[in-house]
Amino acid sequence: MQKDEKDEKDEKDAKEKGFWASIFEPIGNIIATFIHDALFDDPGRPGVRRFSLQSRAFHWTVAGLVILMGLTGLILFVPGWGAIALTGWTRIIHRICAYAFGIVLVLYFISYPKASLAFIKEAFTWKKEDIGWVKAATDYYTGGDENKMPPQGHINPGQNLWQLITIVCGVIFFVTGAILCFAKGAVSPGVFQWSLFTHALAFIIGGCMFIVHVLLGTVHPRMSESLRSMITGKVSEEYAKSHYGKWYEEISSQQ
Amino acid sequence: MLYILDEKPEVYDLPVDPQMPAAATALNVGEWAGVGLGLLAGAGMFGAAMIARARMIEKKEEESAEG
Repeated sequence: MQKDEKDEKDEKDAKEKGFWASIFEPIGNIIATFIHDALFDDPGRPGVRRFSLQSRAFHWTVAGLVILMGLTGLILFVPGWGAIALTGWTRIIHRICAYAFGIVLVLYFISYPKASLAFIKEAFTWKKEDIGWVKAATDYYTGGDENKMPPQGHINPGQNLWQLITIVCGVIFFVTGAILCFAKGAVSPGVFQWSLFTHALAFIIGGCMFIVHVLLGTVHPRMSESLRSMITGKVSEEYAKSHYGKWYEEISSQQ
Repeated sequence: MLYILDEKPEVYDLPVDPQMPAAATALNVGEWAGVGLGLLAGAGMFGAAMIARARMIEKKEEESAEG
């Protein structure tokens, strides 16, 4: 009898630990993936090339700048946090990152015009079969049957939406940001105030999508090789087949 | 900075009945709405990840039990 009670207690303890482990394990996984894949990944590891070196370098440069702009923007945005920005450094960092971001975008576009235009074209291309992804998405991203998701191309409609939002919000940020930075006094107070509001609106939309993008790429078990692919450029063949079936078929037929 | 007017606003060419600009009101609402939406997006995605994790583990256990 006592033994049964002990077993039950051990089982309960293990379950509780499992719950906490399930929360902390993804965080450990993210750190380990960064360290391992950035430093110790075997370049000869079998897999499918998904992202080129220049697109990964661009991604992480932009990510760093966006995170800095986002954090400094958040200080200016969240009600009650404004006191942190009183020294003026928040605004300075925000603007320096915005200038750097602009320079990086222009340099990348000049260096890789074909890839840049393909990115823009991809973001604005929507197909009828995307409805299949939308229908299957809720069940798929909550761990449902993987086979119910129709095969996807190089990016799925969710990623397509993210690309579209980065472009649209990026344009809004630059236009309204330029008015806020350089046109104070030159434009009417109404235009200035609405620019500030539109800048904030783009921050809300882009920020929410950024949170979804980061969590999907890091902690979501369905996108288990997503972070890895953005560090090493490669995914396993199984992952490519199950997540981007159409794209995998395309590249396989080309080889 | 706070200005105290000695005379009535019209003496200084200021509006008699000043109103909060619509853009400023919209920004105030947007700030709180933005904070709420951001937290909702984070919690929703994190929740979906946890549910997916639990369901995937369950499915794996079922498959291994079936052999």
